[in-house]
Amino acid sequence: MNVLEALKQFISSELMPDPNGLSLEDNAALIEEGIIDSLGILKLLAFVEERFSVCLSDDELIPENFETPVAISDLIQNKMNSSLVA
Amino acid sequence: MMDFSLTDAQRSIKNGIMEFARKELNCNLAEDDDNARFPLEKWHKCAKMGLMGLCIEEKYGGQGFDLLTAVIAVEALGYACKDSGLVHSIITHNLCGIQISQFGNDFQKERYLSTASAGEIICAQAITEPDAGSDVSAIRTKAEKCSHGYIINGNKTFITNGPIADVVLLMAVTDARRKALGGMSWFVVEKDNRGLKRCAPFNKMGLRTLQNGELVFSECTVSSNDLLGREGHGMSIFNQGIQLERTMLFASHLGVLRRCLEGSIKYSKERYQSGQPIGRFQLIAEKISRMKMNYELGQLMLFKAAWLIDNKQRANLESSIAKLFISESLKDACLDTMQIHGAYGYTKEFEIERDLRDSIASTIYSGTSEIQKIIISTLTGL
Repeated sequence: MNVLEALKQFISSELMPDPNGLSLEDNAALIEEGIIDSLGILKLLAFVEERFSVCLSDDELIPENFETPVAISDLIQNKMNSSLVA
Repeated sequence: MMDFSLTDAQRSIKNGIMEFARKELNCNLAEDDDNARFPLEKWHKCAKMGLMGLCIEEKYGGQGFDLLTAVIAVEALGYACKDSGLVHSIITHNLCGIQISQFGNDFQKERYLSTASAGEIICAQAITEPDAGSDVSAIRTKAEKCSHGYIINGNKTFITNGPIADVVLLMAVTDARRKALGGMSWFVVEKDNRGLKRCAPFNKMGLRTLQNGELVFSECTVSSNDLLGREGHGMSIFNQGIQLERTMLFASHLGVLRRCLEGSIKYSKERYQSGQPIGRFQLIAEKISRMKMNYELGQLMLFKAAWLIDNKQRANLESSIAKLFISESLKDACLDTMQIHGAYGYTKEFEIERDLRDSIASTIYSGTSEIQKIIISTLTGL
């Protein structure tokens, strides 16, 4: 399962009020639509760091990085690629 | 290999602060508590001792401590200074300095850090609102962009140092559509701003020397240079700050817990009933052993949280656990200390009642115990 799919599955099952509802779009506006709130962000961060073995700093908790599933996936991919290069 | 011992420098800092606090900060406690008077003269003494900028860089007059060393220092202060309101005020001021140091632009750092380290200004952090306590994301104070910066309107409440603040770090909504992530920002507002009104302090049950009150922002105009950090990064800044608050502030509470423990041990050895020291009775010994256990465990968790933050790792879970555990343990310790001291403990003379009154709010501020349990359960995957 790729990063984006794993992310969407987690967000759908853990953070969305009705996980059996509409499927999550790649470009769903997670913040504007209230899918992720302040506690949800903490939960998501814990999942991302454990699942993908990356470390996200608090100054990466910026809207641009968490607006959509694709944005988060891109952030994770960049972190994974950076650690491979290092 | 894990080394739990303090360094020589940390030990020296701790001992120095304890000696200073015992000598300089424990006079007029009852009168100041009765009159809810902020002891400005003690504030200045603490500033001279270097307690106002524990983690601020030395070039700005701070001590340049890492968080673990600051926690050790603050625990010592909480232990030896019996005015918990003063200690709380100093730590809040320190947290503001750290926030400016981490997120301020060059102008803000130059303007505020040296005077903050010297205790020449008093700083406050304004987040809580009448309808937004536990739910920080529900704040409604608005900062609307205008040609020369921002215009701020809203009310903040229960703001530590608010009534006496020279500088306020304010969290406000800059984009209501974006809610928690992306919709909030921080600003620096000075007391002379015509749009800021500092209201009278609340008359509180405990922490009575701590000045805590409302701030009203009414057409409060600030320039773009007064933005702290980037627009929209409010929640990220809050998240970093709250981990620090739950670590540093509760280090001082751990110090009070230790004072309760030592006072209880001393009294239990000296007080005789039925021909023996009361410490020999199991039900008294049980209370003291629980206090000791809670102190040790609280310190371990606190040190872990501080270590994680110093090593640029996330400490939301650890700081929440530390905060919850220490605050609840402190309340219990104060109650047990009073019980151990019997009727004498109920008198003002023994000062236990003041520690108890001061401890009650610790399970409320920095996120209630209920909120900490929600955070902990969320972060354990539930």
